[in-house]
Amino acid sequence: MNSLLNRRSFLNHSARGLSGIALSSLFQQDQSLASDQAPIRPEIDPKHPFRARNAHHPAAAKKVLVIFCAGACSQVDTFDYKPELIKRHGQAMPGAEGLKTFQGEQGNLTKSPWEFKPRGQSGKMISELVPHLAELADDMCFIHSMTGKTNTHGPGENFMSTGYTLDGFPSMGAWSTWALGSECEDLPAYVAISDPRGTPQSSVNNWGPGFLPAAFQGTEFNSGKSVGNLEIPKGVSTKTDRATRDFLKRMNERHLEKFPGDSELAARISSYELAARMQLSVPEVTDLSTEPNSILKEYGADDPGNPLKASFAKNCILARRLLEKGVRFVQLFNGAYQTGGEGVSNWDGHKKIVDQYSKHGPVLDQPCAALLKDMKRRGLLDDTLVVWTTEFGRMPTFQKGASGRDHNPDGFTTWMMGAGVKAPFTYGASDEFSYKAVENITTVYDFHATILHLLGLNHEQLTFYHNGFERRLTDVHGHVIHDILT
Amino acid sequence: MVIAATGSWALAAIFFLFAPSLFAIDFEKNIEPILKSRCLECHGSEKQKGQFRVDRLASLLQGGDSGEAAVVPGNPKNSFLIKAIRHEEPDYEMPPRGEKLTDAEIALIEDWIREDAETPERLGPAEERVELIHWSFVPLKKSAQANSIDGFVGVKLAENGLTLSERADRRALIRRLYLVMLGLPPTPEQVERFMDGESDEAWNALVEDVLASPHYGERWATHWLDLVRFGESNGFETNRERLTAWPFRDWVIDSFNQDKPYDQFVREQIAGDSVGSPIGTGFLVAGPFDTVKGQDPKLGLMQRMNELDDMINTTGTAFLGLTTGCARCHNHKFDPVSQVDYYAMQAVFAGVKHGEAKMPLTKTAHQKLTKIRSEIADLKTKMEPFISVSTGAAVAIDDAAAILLEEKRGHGVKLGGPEPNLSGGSYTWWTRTESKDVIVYQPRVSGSYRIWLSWGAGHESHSTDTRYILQSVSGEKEIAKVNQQQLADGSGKVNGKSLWSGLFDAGVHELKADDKLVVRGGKTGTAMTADIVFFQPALSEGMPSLRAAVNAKHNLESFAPTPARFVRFSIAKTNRGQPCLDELEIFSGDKNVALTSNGAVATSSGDFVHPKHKLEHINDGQYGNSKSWISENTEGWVQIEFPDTMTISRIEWARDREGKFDDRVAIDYQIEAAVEPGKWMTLASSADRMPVGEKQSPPELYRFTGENAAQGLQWHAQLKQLEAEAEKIDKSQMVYAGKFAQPGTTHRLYRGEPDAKREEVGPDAIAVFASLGLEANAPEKERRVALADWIASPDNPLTARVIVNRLWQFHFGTGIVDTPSDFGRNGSAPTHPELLDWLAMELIENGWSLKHMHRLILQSATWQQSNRPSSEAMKVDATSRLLWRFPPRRLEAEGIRDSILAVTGSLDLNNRGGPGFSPFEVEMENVRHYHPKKKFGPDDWRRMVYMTKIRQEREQVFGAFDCPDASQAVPKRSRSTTPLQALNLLNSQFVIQQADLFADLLELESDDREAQIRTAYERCFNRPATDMEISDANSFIEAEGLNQFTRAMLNTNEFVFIP
Repeated sequence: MNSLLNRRSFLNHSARGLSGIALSSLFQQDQSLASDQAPIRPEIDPKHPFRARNAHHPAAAKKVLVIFCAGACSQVDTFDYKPELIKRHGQAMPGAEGLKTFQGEQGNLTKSPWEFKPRGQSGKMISELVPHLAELADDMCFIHSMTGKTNTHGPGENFMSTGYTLDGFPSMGAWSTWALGSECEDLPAYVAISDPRGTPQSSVNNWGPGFLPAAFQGTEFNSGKSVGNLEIPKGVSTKTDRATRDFLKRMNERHLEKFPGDSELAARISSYELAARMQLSVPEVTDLSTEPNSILKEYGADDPGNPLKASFAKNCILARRLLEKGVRFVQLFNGAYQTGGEGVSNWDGHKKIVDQYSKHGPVLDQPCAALLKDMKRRGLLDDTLVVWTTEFGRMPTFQKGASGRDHNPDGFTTWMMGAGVKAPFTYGASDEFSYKAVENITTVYDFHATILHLLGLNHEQLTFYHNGFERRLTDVHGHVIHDILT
Repeated sequence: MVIAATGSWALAAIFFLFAPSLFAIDFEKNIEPILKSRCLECHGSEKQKGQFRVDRLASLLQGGDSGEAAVVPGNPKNSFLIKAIRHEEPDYEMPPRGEKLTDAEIALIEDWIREDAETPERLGPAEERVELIHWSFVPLKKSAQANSIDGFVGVKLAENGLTLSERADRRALIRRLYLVMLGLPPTPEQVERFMDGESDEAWNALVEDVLASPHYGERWATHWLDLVRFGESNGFETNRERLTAWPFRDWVIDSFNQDKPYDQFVREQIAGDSVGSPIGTGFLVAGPFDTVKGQDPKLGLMQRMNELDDMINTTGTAFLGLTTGCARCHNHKFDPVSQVDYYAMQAVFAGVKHGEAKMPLTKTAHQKLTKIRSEIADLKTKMEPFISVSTGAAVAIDDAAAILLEEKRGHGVKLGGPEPNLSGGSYTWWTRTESKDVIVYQPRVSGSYRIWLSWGAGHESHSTDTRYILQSVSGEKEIAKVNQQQLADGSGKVNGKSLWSGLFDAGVHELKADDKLVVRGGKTGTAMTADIVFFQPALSEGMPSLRAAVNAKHNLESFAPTPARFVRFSIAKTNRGQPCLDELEIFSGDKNVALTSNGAVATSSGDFVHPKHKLEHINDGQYGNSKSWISENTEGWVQIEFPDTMTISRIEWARDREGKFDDRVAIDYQIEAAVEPGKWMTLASSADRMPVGEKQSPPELYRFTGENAAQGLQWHAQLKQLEAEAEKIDKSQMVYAGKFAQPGTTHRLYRGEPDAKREEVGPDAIAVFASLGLEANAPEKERRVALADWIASPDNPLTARVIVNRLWQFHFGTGIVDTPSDFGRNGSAPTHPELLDWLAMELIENGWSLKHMHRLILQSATWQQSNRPSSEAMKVDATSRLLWRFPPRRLEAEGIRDSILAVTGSLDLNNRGGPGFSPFEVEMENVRHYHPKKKFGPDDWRRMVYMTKIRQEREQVFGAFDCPDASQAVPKRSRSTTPLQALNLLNSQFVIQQADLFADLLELESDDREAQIRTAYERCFNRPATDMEISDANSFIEAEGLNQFTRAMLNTNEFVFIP
């Protein structure tokens, strides 16, 4: 047990407590204002920063998988079915005269080029862009009334991943692993699997630690790219490497004898042991050669005609393997930063949405659906929450003079699946065209509050003191969406 | 009710003259019971939810968290209380539980407000001053408790039954001193020198040494740069580099090294442009900047609010230890910062924008520049004879562009011949047939023209009598018969190597628009050839030549002085899209007479409509795409009319002088002048320019021909070099230190929403502390100067306390207040409040000298005590907050990296200041991507403070050691221990290379294994190795080699912890 940190937090509390008492007669009003609910700080053993820690309340989900479609995937063309939009295809959107969105003026209402069909027993209408995912309609819990705060990609990704549009705030995975550690100490507690085409627009902000300790940043790797500095240096044999570590350990232990009880020194010795275990376990988990052909085929990882899809499929398999090992938080990205032009490498379909989505759809669809089915088969969905999201939605109109849709943060779709959420279920709704959320309007703060809640964490009490603020993932907002919980 | 309905002020005044009891609504009878039963539980003397209470008049008038007045006497519509009880405000539906107030109750309250909201005296006055009693808000206090650091620390220790530890040993002390003060370990020689002297003077001398070291500023600047979120890229999506930000980093380093008084240091960062230190305002714009702007106007406003918020927050937390950010949306919950205060601060910074500013040159730089400029002027005078005059309306037709009448046999290529070679790289050849025409040149000009011919030479097979025939309606005229074996001037070797002939003067001829020049077979040779032909206006002088192709950034047309009232620039073709000109400059002497400000008027064939692209930009004196003109159609013209006839001799034009765009460039154009409308004459055109994309001909301004050509070329080379030097000095003037302009009005924004504007707010400080006494429309600079003066005042209770606490933190790991940027009521209380005040007063009384504070701290027994644990003391104070020992801690990322480079002998300590070095290869996409470098050399071995600070991307090895990325201000780094850190230090190419270099260095110093081990211990730990350590190392090296030993040494705890 870590006496150092406990002592520190005790002292902090008592110091503040004391000043509180001393001033209470003078500042009576502040006492009631200070905080309705006291912060709950995780007790982190410096020798085992990733060891599993208790949640605030019993958790429905132990692990989280976030599937993030970068570039703003259109809800209009995937999951948000609007018969009225089809009916009024080609007409001006009422009340949208002079409306200027991110890139400028809007053209007419435009129905999705992809047909919607009823799916599963629930009959949920989902488009032909994602036929494999559509097969899972009965397992999905849709939120059709999500709203954001910005219509620019970078800040939008920041907002979805960190709760702030600005750079430099901790990502939800960092908050989760800071609070809970991991179920597997031999792998990074938090893994970000970037798209085969590269990192998303807002890059490492999506899995950054912000001001939380660096230990809780997401570690980025994927099926084609390993963890940096994991390998033994060239020309050094395993035996020599081992001997060097042993020698280092002897030196550190001799030094530690002079500082009995100083846990930071002991923690640093442990970190080298943990590193050695990671050197074994990361290559093992990324080695997909042990996967049977049937699995490769199901995910599409063997598709010679679509190498991009095959690469993404391998990332999907990797995600499953990490979750099986007990990694706490996995972010799986589909879509990268803008390269080769707008919407070529991600879901940013401003001008040629049919061309571009016809390429992106198949890359996402089969591998992602296979991952979810595979997880379901293996029972992983029992304790894993799956979250599908994007940074914001798109307009039901085409842009003036173009054949694609502009950014729209005022009403878009996300869905969840697995531990703790109802399915099939639909929560909230956008208006008749899928332009604005109108029913059970949901914010990203609510979304985050709900994810934390499912992990057993109270979003108002999970706070970290930084630069004068008790910071939260949800800032000063957010309500758990109880209606979607089982 | 009746009164309200009549709405007469006279009637109201009459009632006012009578007693309040005459009002229809009686507060005590009608209103107070409602408030008592429905509001008081949460908004009374016990609780004040949302900082609002209904039992005090001042609170009713001021309102609570929302920043909105709850009661506006006489105006129920604007009273927030009414909106809340009517449930018209989301999140403020009152009362939150139980039944809504009845319509009758609401109506009563409305009437009460309408009737001026009278309350009895026991609800207090309309304004209640907030009394400042929080410890950090009251003035500094002298304490009788003690009068030294050790005294104050001793008192606290004694209270807890503790004492200071013994003094650390001298080796630990010097190592600690160097690591804390310089971020570098001492060399073994420095340690030995110190070990020789035992006295206090030796220690004091050592303290003076480190304070005088230039590396002190480098070390302590790192702390400051963290605090002010200094970065060298914009962050956000595109994360472009900020190439001129580094001078601020150097400015901070210099400020520490010069021991700039702290109050001045503060002033210069907020208002350096007004107090002679303009680089200092780099502070204001050191933070991230979102450059992706959409069309959505609300989004744009929000981005601007965020920029200002970053400045307000950083100013508040860095200097005052006060969080102000909450007050953007509502009154601060804990500190006396209201929404109005926040927007008053916003008004102070409202004129500050991100961007570069031009700095005054240093004296030396100025002298140097003056010298270079005069040299440039001299050279230019000397070179005047070489200035090329445009061939004006010359027309050049290459063989490739002419019409072939006979099928060619081939091309002569790899042409030698006279320079500059205008052949375009090849000529065309045919089998000769007597009297057969092979090629037609059609210039489509009329008037008197000199015709210049050229052909392919060098082969015996070529005809010696090729004819050139001018064909017109009136008949044919042979203008030349040439020998195509030789050059135009009759020289040249005929040895089978293809040559361009150079230009042959075929005399002056009168041309009509339909006239053609044909090349006709003569009587000799088996082959005949053709190459470029020029038609030069007869009045032009000299031999024609092709000018450089047009380019996007700058084009010059010079011509013989010509009178003009109108100048028209007509464009027939561009490289892509409708033509764009960012500015059309027409010179009479050195004066640009085309400017609107000089009375010129622009017209055009039609304009592309866009806020950035307007006709007025063609002659507004501003460059760049966003101040440019674009033609409505792909063909078009723009015309300038002068107020009078001017004599002009030069025109300069460009697509985008800022060099960001290269489309829309006119490649087929004509520039004409007229004194009377309609009577145009051509001044210049694209006809004598090289085609775009071809190899460039010689410099367009000068043409070096004749006997002095060699001299001219030499001068020209010199001129280029001088101009480059001048530009470099000139560029060094640009610093990312913000741009300042007089702002418009600032408003309080309800909930911080840009479209919920409330009352106007003038620039000011936080009201409970001080007023800056500025007018609402005070000049921009004055606003910042006034704020800076208030912050930097010795009477400001926060400023001095905050900075001495920061110094303490960087010495001991934790401050006296462990929430260094929050001295407000939500922050922690100081462990040693008397000491904190004593230090703050010491600072102020000693001219705000930070070095003075360092001396005090470094000379204290508290600082010099051992860091060894004691189990007894740890039971009382495990974190050593009471300072019974020097608290142990790991070095920061910079300290570890610089120490590695120092002990391996790689560190370049002399390369101080200037542009940084980057740990990344930059992928130049619109959205920048930074890939970790794979190879390192001496350029990378400067101190880490000089490493270009890219936001978001942490350096691949040391970033994992809690190195912030400058997206947020960091007053205190976290200190985590992670397996990734271990992997980075063990396996990274950077560290392995250093371990190898370290091994090389040890081997170079001695062949003896034991000596090598001893040296390694001295260099890494500043202490001798023990016998046991030597024997362990010896057997390890025997088995695994010296490089593995050095690799292990750089990974040890002893190496990365401050002793």
